[in-house]
Amino acid sequence: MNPDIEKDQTYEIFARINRGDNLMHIGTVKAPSDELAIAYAHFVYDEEDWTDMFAVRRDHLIQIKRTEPLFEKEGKSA
Amino acid sequence: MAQVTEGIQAFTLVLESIADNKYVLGDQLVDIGMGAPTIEAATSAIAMAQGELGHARVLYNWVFELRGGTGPKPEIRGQTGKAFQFVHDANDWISLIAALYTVDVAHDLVLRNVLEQRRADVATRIHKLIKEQKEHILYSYGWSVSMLNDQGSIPSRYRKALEKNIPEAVKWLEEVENNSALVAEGFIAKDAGFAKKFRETIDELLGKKGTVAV
Repeated sequence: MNPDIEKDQTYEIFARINRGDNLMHIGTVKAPSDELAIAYAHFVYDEEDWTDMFAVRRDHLIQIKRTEPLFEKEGKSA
Repeated sequence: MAQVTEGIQAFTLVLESIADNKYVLGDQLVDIGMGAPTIEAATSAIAMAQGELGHARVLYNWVFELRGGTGPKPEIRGQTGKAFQFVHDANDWISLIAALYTVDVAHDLVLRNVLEQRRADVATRIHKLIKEQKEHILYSYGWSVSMLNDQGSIPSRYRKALEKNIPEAVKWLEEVENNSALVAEGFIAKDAGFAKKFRETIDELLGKKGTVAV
């Protein structure tokens, strides 16, 4: 079987250990659906007994600020 | 020691069937799951295998207690012969996912119904079991949908594998729902309709997922 990996979405996984803790970014998973993203995150990131765990599709993150490159890309400058 | 009634005896047979399926699936998830199409799927399959084997052990020990056993728990050397044949027969990724989904749906229907009867002596353990297998169902459902929407021969092969499993699962569900001792002692509801609900769930999965390649 050769699943179309191109169809997979990247999900960012966030969790907190204790109630009241800050939410931490703990990793990512690639999955073709929300259901599989939930299952993968649950099984792959099971090193802690997380109080809360969330998955957010990467393309749903809203960009507010982004690091600018320190140098012009080679060959691009005038 | 509590009396082992006819209902408890029947309930232990249901638990043993569930434990046996989990026992065999635990091995199958390692054997076949290692070759899953993605790293996330393979890692999750191994984690689920641990979960299934853990559940099987807990259920065998619970059966031992319900039958009046005391003292150290017996060593578990193998399943008791009640696992579905199609779980044994799974030999590739497609048939494994079909077996996993069939078993997950069948078990979930029975366990949820047992929980709804609110028998104090079983509710806590059943609740924990249902809670812990939630992601297993998401996994098998997610992969089922994925395969039914895949390309080439995969959708038809998955559909065929799933349909092959249905009669055996339905037969088991009918045996459980028609067991008068289970109903009389409040383990399951009267007219639980497991087989009907099972067919509806499978039909819903197959029906809404596109056309099937020949």
